[in-house]
Amino acid sequence: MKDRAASRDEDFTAYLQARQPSLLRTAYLLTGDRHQAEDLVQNALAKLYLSWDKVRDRGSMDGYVRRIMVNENNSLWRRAWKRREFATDELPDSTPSYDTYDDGRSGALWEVVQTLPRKARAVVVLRYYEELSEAETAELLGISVGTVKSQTSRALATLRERTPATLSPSEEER
Amino acid sequence: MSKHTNGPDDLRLRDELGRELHQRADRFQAAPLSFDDVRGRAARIQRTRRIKAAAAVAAAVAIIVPVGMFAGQGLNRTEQIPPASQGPSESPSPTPAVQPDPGPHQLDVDAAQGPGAAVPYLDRRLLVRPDGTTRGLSDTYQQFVLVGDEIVALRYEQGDPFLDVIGADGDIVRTVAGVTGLAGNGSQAVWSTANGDLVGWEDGTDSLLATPGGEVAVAAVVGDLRSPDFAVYFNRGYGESPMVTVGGEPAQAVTEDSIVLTDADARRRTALRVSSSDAGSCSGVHEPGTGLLWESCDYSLTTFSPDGRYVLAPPAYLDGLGYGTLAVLDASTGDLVTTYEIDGGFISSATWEDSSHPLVVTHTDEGWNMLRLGLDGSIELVADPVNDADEMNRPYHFTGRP
Repeated sequence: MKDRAASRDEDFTAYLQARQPSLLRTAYLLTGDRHQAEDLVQNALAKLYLSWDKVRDRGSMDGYVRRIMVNENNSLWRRAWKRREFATDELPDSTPSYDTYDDGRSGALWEVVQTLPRKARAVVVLRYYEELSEAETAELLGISVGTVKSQTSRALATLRERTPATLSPSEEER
Repeated sequence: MSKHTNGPDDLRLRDELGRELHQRADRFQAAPLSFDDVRGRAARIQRTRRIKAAAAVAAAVAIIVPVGMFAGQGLNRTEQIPPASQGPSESPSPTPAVQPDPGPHQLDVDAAQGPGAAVPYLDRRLLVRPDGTTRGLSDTYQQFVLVGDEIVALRYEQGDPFLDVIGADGDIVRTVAGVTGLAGNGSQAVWSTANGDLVGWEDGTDSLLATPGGEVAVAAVVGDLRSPDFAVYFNRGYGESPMVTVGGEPAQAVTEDSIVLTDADARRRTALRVSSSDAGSCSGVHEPGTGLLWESCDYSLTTFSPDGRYVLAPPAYLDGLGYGTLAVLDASTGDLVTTYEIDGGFISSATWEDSSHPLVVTHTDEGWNMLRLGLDGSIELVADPVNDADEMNRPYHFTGRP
């Protein structure tokens, strides 16, 4: 007979395999860096593993992990770690395949997204990638709907101002 | 200011943004994590949590300081000061009390050098006394309390805690395995064991104070062990209410509406965590007979000032090596008194030197520093900086906490 621990590990492994790619993609958008994304997801999944028996609602797992990822990404440890890894505050894209992807405006959009304050970037990722509602985003981030609205508005204003519609690589503001 | 806030342009931008994020994400490739990778990280987190739990539950120590111990005089005179890891209350404040300034104040590790700490602390394998004299130790310890001339200290071997009682001559006179918490009052120490016992230590001998059983981690003691008012506060297992036993009477819950106790002051007010999750926590101050005075989900609480007026408050979401901000709150109201911030590093540990000066240990690219913070925003260096890039090995430890 399979013991409880083995069954638990089996359940967790199934979740890990099914959800890991999606979580890594979100983590990448939050961090802008492959290694940080991998580390963020590993930490969040490790915390989920430790809490596996306490998180009764299997449907809320993704929300639970995303919340941990966002909080961790805003935490000091991450910032300190990043400082050690990179000499500047710039967030280099360490995935070489992206070098050929930049088509001007989209590259500029991505660049601006990466310069947003971490909390604002989290709002943008949850709203426009995860496609969460304002209320869901507010709940996940532990902030008010009003703050989600204002962060979104400010982020869009920044994007609008720094990525004009006629942007070409030679006209980039930065 | 934005020129457009709504309309077709806005919608187009939102669509573009969503598309861009999806395209970036879809092209992203990462090394897959195995179950063993995640389980290994989980084990590491668990070890860190165990050490942090020991720190949290032993964060408070009421000290009855034998003045002569620090001044090199006779040991007869004692003076009681309220809780936590303070030095002698009669030690002069490094600077006069001033009007608090809410800040936020940026911590500057290049601040001017001030006088040495007025509380004892560990500097790697040295005990540094307020008078500047030192005493060598045979091991590195993460937590300690002073009991007269003895040092009662916790060390960890591969994550397992061991308590050593180090005699005045430097010899280890007692070693106890499986100690789950340690608190002291300057002339006595109390520790808890994995067997669920609360043990007192005084005059070179131990005595069984209470046997609550189950998971027990002593967090704070208030008063003198021989007094009928002697109170031992301890935490239970995860999610259970902290307890207090007074004068050997059966233990009672401090309040059912809390899960962790971090400190108690001379008036028996307690700093409590009332809820916690990986996403954050809420904390408050409880007063016997009144109940929870206030609650905040913006801060966690660690240590009352010696006069009980203030409480140190790191952020509510604690994870990683330390914290980027530290607030001082009014213990009676929860109102913000002042905030300190550190850029390019973190605050690893904090305590009170006196009721208007927190002491903190910070780590930045320049290494480790001990700083004296004034409520008015003044900052002084307290000890020689330790130029060590390793963020895991804090060289300085204040009494009562790792």
